[in-house]
Amino acid sequence: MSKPKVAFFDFTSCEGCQLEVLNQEPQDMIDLLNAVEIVNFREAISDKGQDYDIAFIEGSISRPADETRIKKIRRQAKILVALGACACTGGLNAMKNKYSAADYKNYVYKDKAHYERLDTYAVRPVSAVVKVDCEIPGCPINRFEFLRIVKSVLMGVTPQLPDYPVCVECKMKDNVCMYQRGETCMGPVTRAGCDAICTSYGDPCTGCRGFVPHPNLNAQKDVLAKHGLSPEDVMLNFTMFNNFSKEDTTR
Amino acid sequence: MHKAMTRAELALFAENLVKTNVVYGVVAKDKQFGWDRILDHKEMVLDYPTTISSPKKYFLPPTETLIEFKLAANPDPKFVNHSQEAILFGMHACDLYATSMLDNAFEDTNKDPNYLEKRKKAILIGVSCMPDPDCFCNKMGVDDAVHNEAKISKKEALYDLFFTNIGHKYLVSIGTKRGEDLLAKYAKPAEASKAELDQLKVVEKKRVESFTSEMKQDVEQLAKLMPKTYNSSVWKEYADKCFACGTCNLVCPTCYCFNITEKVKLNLQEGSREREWDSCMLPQFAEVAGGENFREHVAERLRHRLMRKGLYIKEKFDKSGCTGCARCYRNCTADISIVEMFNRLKEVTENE
Repeated sequence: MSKPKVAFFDFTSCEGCQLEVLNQEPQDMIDLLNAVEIVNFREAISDKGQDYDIAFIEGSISRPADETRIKKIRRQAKILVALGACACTGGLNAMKNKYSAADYKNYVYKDKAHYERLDTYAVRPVSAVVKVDCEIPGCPINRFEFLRIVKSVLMGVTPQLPDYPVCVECKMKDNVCMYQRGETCMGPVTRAGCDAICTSYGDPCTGCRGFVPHPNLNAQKDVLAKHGLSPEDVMLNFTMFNNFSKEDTTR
Repeated sequence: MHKAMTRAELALFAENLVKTNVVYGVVAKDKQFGWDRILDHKEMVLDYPTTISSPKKYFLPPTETLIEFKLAANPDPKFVNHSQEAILFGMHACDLYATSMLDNAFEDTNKDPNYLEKRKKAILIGVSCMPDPDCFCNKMGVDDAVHNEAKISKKEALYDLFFTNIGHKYLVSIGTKRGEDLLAKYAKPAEASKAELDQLKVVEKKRVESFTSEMKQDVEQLAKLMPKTYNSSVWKEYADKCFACGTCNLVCPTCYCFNITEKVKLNLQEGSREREWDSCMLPQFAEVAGGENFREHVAERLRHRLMRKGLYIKEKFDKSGCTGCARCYRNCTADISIVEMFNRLKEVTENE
């Protein structure tokens, strides 16, 4: 069997998830390159091959031109994988969806706000525009989860993400709960798979991997409020990585 | 039979143990306490209220490889069991009791070599404690490892050695020959004097009188109550607040459910069978092929968990499934108290 051809493409993003793809242990990288042929990967090679089987997409869709490009990629790719928070949930980019264009442009770009190339529509995840076969969430992605998903794809097994919250991984590591350290945390409603990396290093979870399939969001709001957050701060916790809603695609 | 040791003698004993053995004990962790490997005996804490997780992680690790195999016509499976001689120093009575319950579970029907071998190689050293406001181990009948040992374990001592803090000294109760030998090898304790044994009774009395938990029922009463609560409205009440995050199961010293997965290496030539902690509060726990879920709703999962704690384990092993350690409550982000739930179930069931 010939090696599947793999391409990486980026849309609105920092390209940090692609860096994580490259940030592997040497042997893992060798095994990865033995398993697949990378034909297009702006951060790693100069080739721009357009013949590929698996496309990894980093970034969110934020302009009509992005739609044209992602649809073209979708037509070519047998398997399309969304890579990272921006591609999976809209990520940080979708925070702007709750503001008017004039407001966020003036705030971010100041005297350059009138530049035409800064025109965008409401940010959306890749799955809002084309069919996505599999998602690897996180800001950035977890490189070990990336390898797990690649293995699933190579073996023809449907990739599985954990459907339980970050609390599970925290408890397995015997971490002191952020709430018991006087912090607040989105761990109870956020999908695990990051190996609780933020909380293990003392930072609260901000929900970058999106919600678990059946999050108790009311309980989360109650708990955040009980731990002293104002209603505005509670909403900020919910909208940092998870602001995109289906209604945004009409704007 | 009791021996007596001064604090300095106990410190020397611990120091000697740590020098030549793998010792696990309790260390301060932020504002909490947790079980960890002890490399310097001075870091080990004997006077602590409770730990985040229980020492079960040394017999049933959060993740563990069971088998390594090849993806070939001959998979050539190799059984993996990373067990080693170890000393667990500073276990409270409730955790000693929980360990004996886990022993039952892993000895039952299919004997589990990975658990049992680790368990067999471990020496358990208990230490006395004073209840904190949430503890209700007295109601569960597991608060006194030294005097209740016959009643609880039904076959042997729960511990190899048990240290009771009587103020200026520790009294040592010897549970097994192995414990006796260990003590003789690393310390030279004197026999406890009449005055020290009297002081032990004073300390014990004070401990028994210090419980303040609101828990209203004991093990037998709970086992009678639980079958009547199956259709109670209480489950839904608490489900509305519950995250179903699994924390209560994972920190519970008597929860032993695990999941098994098979993982393949990136070279696609080798793989391993892995076991990891599972939790009956998680949505996928009772899901089967085809997507059917026997406990789809959080209320059903909460009920199952409390049935395990108050009834099923009692029926199966004639032991309490709950030790009253209150870890599930202390670690619950939604502040759901198992004591409050048991009490509420009683109250509502009696009035329904």
